[in-house]
Amino acid sequence: MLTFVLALLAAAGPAAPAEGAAASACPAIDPPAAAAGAVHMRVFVDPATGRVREPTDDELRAYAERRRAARAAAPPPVFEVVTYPDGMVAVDLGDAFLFDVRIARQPDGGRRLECVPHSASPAPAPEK
Amino acid sequence: MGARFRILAAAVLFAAALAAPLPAAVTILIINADDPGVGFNDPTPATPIGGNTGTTVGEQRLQAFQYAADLWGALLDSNAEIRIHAQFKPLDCTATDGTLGAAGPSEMLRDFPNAPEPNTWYAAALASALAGRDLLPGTDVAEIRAQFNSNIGTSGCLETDHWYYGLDSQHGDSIDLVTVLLHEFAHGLGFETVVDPTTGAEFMGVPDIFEKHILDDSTNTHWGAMTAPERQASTINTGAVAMDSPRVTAAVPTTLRNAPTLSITAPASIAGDVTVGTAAFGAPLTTAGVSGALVALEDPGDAAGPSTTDGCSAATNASAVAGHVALVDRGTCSFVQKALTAQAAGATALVVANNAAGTSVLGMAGSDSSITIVVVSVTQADGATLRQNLAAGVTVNLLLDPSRRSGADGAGRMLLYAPNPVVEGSSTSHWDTSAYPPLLMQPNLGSDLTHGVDLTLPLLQDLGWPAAAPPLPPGEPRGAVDAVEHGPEHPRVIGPRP
Repeated sequence: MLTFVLALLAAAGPAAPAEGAAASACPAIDPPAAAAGAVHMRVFVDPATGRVREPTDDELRAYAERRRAARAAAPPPVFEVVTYPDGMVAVDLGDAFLFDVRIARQPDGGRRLECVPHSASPAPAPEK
Repeated sequence: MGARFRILAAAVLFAAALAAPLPAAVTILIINADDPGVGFNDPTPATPIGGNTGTTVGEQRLQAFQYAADLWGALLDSNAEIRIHAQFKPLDCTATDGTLGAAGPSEMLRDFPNAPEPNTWYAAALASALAGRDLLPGTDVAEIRAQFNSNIGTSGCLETDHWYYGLDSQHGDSIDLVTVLLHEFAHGLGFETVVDPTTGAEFMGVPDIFEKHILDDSTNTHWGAMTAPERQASTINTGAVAMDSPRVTAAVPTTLRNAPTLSITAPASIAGDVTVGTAAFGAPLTTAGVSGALVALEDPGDAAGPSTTDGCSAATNASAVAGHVALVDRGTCSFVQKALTAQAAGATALVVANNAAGTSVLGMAGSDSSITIVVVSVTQADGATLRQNLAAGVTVNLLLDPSRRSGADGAGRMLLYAPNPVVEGSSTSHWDTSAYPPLLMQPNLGSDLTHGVDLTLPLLQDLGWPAAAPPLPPGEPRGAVDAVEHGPEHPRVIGPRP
């Protein structure tokens, strides 16, 4: 038999990751210039040469717009709370507290893996 | 449909842990949530590799998941099955960066039967383990969610990178899926706090069990006893946010090496020890250290580097630098180039000052076998202090401090990642980046990680996980399940979302 005392929906949750909250610690950006301060240590590669370079203004604008649009489209987290007869409380977190492992190519050709909070922003690429 | 896996002994990789009698293990169920023909069901033929016997891409993905689950399952103990809702699907990705995967607990529970601490959030899998039974019954209800990127290595998505589905750590230049899974599953098992790091607010006003173990060294106060503003301040107290975990502290001396340190011996006004980052190239630090006067290397402001302190061109004051420890600023050229410049000027060692604000020290990547001097990095603030005092005569010793372990505080407690500015979600839910050798739960997963769980297992034990290992001596706080309460079944009601 299904019994429950209270089920309520709460919208209290973590704020979406801030644009400026870039990882400033962590190892080894070499040279550092291209990635310094970038969200998720994103680097930009010149499609003509394949080399890492400073992003153009258009690229930066497109990137920022992409993240803004994605954040705007994402609803605020809503958590389902269920209280059971014996007092146990369970909260469905959804994807709110997932951790992403992200990868970024470094300027020296190496790559960097980093564990960061889950971002609702990315629009998944189509299945291939 | 779900694919069910029983836990198997994890063989030689966990020989040390398996040396003790195993009281039990935990069954982990991988719920394959992918549609037919994609993800775990991708029928693309694949050649078995590294112990993975799958003959399709989907089978190999599933076997790698099973293997990582087996590794954790062999180390933990629970009467309750752990279910992982798993998908391999397209995630955010570009030609140069992307998401490899994501995972975490699907639910947090509190005040469940046999909960060691009342009014405290526990990750669902841990809660069920402590309760001794499945608190979230149902074949499609998972304690952990996991989703991984199926597009890695395809057109437009990090085309030169590839998943390695082998089980033997021999991944070469590919990305070892099992390592990433071990890291992510640990978050799902409870290795994270759900405190909002930007405000210090507890999740729905209730502390979580991970948070309760966090100790601010500066105030000697646990996070559970702090106000939200105090936690907010502590979140960015770099180098002073530790994990109060007896098992972890006990394991630190045998897990981590001595702390890389810059010891300032003069002038007296700034004398003291500074934590430094190390380089992947050059001479290693020693306990004896390299000592000498610190001298600012000067070079032309030119096309190689616009600053006269960046060390990107040949030194103009080589005679002053020779025989001493050189100081340059980060920026423009590679760390390797700066080291080459300093070495060519006759420096005995090099200190690179960060050019970006932040409280965590940088590790420096690169390789050049011709570099024979020690190279370390300091924060921007420490670099400024050193530079401001050069006229007074700064002498330093670069060494491995035998009195401290890298990544640990003065009391031997493991430090948490607490950079300033805060990195939402990542801060305080990982080990500090100064720990060496690399640990599974550092935010920057090292490519040289193998399939060990280092300090992660003792931390999970101190959070309450019963482990397939000898119990703590009597009197140790938190942890073991002494009795299982068999309360009424917990019906679960899924209400509609607005």
